[in-house]
Amino acid sequence: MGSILPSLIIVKRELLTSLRRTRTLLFVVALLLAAGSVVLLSWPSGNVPSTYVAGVSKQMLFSVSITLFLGCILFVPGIAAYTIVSEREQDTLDALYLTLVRPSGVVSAKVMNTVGIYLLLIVGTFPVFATVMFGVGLDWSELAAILGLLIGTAACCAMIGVLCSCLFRRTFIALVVAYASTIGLLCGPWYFLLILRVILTGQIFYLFNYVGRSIGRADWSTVFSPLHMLLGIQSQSLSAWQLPATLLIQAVFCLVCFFMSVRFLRRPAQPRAVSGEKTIEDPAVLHARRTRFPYYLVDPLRRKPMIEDGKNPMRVREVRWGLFNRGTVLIRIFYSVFTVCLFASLFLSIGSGRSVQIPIMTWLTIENVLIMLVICGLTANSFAKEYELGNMDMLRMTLLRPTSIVAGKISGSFTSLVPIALALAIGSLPMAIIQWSSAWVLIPGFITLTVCAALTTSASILTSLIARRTNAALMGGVALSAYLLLGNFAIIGVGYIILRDTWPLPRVKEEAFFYLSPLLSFPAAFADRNPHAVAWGVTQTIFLAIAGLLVAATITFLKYRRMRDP
Amino acid sequence: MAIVETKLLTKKYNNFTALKDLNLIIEQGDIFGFIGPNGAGKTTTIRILSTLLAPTAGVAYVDGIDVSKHPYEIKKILGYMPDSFGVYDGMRLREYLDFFGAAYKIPRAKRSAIIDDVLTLTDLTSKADDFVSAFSRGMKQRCCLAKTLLHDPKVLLLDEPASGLDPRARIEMRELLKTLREMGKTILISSHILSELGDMCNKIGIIEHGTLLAAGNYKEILHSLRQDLEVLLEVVEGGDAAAEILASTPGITGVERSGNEFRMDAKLDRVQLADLNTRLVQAGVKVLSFTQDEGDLEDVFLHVTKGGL
Ligand SMILES: Nc1ncnc2c1ncn2[C@@H]1O[C@H](COP(=O)(O)OP(=O)(O)O)[C@@H](O)[C@H]1O
Ligand SMILES: [Mg+2]
Repeated sequence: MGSILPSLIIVKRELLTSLRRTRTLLFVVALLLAAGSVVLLSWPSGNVPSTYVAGVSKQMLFSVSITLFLGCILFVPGIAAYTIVSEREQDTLDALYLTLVRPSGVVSAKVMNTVGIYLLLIVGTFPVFATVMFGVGLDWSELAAILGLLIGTAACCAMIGVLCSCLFRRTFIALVVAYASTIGLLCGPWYFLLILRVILTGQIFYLFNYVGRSIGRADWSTVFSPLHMLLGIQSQSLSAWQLPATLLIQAVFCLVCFFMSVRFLRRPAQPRAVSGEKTIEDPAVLHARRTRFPYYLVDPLRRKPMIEDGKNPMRVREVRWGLFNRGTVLIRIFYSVFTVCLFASLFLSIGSGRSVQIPIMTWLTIENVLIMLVICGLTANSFAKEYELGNMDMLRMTLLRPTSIVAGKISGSFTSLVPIALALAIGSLPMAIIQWSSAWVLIPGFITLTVCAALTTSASILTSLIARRTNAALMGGVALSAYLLLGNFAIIGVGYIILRDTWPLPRVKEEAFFYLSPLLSFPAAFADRNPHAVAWGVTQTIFLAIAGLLVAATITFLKYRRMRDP
Repeated sequence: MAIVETKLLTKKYNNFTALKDLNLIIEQGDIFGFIGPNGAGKTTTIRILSTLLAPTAGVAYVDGIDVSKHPYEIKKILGYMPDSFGVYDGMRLREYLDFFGAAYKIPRAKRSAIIDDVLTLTDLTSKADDFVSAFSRGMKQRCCLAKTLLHDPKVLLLDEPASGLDPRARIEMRELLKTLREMGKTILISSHILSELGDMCNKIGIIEHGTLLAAGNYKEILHSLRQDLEVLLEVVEGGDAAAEILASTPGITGVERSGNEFRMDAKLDRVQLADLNTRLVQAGVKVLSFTQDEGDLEDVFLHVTKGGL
């Protein structure tokens, strides 16, 4: 405990500096406004029975805690993962080492700081809790359970982030791994279960019903999933042992991460290894290497040809020295994606006795989400990296036009996706062959995939240009893409369900909301016996146009941006 | 002919005025030393000239072209080396230069020869196949300069090219700049150290708080800036006669004599100094040397710039 006390100095320093930043302030204000407007919107008008008020209040509490939970997953790992690795990149970590603060102090300071910011956000939503109290009187034990769960989850996310921050030397990698493991560890078991159930029983439409139905079960797997527990508290369907079990698991998890972080933080920083290998000029040696596993397509030691006239140099650079330069990474990616895809598609088409159409759609939708995450990871740092490396000025001084710079970046990241797309397409073939009559669904599926990929790429390239920092770019890119892919559906659709009785606009069929999302419009349109191809087509066209607008915005931004000195 | 010219150039960052009514003229073939303490506005000026920053007011011309109106034309004739810059990971030097060569629209057929030329010029030929990110600071500077020279720009803007370099790398950089001067390029070099630029510039400009304090011929500027000029006189014969003449000359004070060597403060301009020398010789003094003390450049600098940001 003694080692943790001196770290309070760092906590204070960090919390104060982050509070002083206008960004944090804006964030809290935005949250307050959002929470306030939820309260206002769902405030029942006219004379309504008190049971109805109680229902609305509960509904509100529910949506606010879910929002806080998602906010936690979206932001806490990112903020935490940035802390130590950024100090390492800016060479301020050594200065911290030299002080008398111990590694455990550093780690706990970073965690407490991150969780502190998150607590601030929770405080920001107090108007909602207050309203709920007015509405029905608050069940204190329920509120305590929700808060406990949220804080526990925030602590876990922060610990995962800090652990990644201690483990890796590059901000970008720390961020990506932190997010992946957060999603994997916190949502993983439960989602896996859910997705499996949806797939095996057939229809993505009833996703929400499945959520509802699975809440009631005192399943052992649910205690690993804080989201599930949150839903359980809401519906008061938890057994007495479940919540304590979850909190215990979270505490143990945090402790393990803590000690691992301290261990890895102590590890002396080594300068990043630069491979000093010379290019190989001897054709015989090259030929011999070519027969070995990863080198038959690209050999990083082969001398690269000069950039051809008439080609966009930016694009050539992105492709040749981007992902392809990591030599053999792409080939390995291809094989792993292919293998996973092959097994999954075989499993799906054999496992479901009925029409293969539903599994195809489900599978393509899952694929879609995964590809989106990959794209965000690949493109979010396309400009941020240039800023961070200090290359942006030099790039702007060349005769490359902003259009070719942006086009180069975009087509570069698309080219890097080719192996993955290829693996997915080939891997899906068995599915198509097994149920030939439904195979045509793959065509609109891949079109949807392309539109979503274009949307994600353009969104994350724009945020990359605006944000300048890898972590901000990645978080912004994921947030913007998630909004474009699902946000309208989630906000308007959920709003519709909450406000069912006071909905101001004409009533619509609930299925219509699926067409607000390019991602979900595909399963919505083609799950039916008679497909709604036109509605799907309209959605895809609109979102493709939005992607075009985003690209135009990026080019304009690059053209007119006057840059500050670093 | 003025190849770089700014008229009443002003740059404000929010409320902070980084540049105030700057009038700068650089002639064709000049090596212009742009000197000022940190935060004086050197980088701001250079970035405006290189189209990366828009001025708040005023105009800037390079080779008669308005910088704000025709940035594309400016980029063709301008080479800019930023004060801090990065390099791409995983690119070898030749590939790096090839990329920038292509970005400067140099046709592939010519590019190879041009790359060889700039590599020779910057003495990096032996490193052509090494990874740029593994270079030392001095090598990175030269590599960036090589990149800047690719499209054979008329005007070079070098922002603190010698900062952070060890003495050897500094000397190499200086040699390189001399070569460039011989190639007939117009060069603007910024620095916060006056003596670093002294012997390679023919013109200097001193800037502080965004205002140009003095600009023009290097020697003249130094002279006009020196309030109390230290003059050293060494004679072989006639030391006493010399002492008399010095004592009777108005403007000469604080004469210190040690044997045949004199050191004095002279409030005289160049012509008056030359006259004094003539009188000494006519009085039969055998003058061995009669020189200004050039040693204390930094004193002049400290004197001119008031300090503080
Ligand atoms: N983006 C910016 N925002 C606000 N102030 C800036 C910005 N860039 C530079 N400055 C300020 O302008 C002044 C001049 O900066 P600069 O041109 O970089 O000086 P120098 O290169 O001579 O050291 C400094 O006081 C600096 O703090
Ligand atoms: Mg500067």
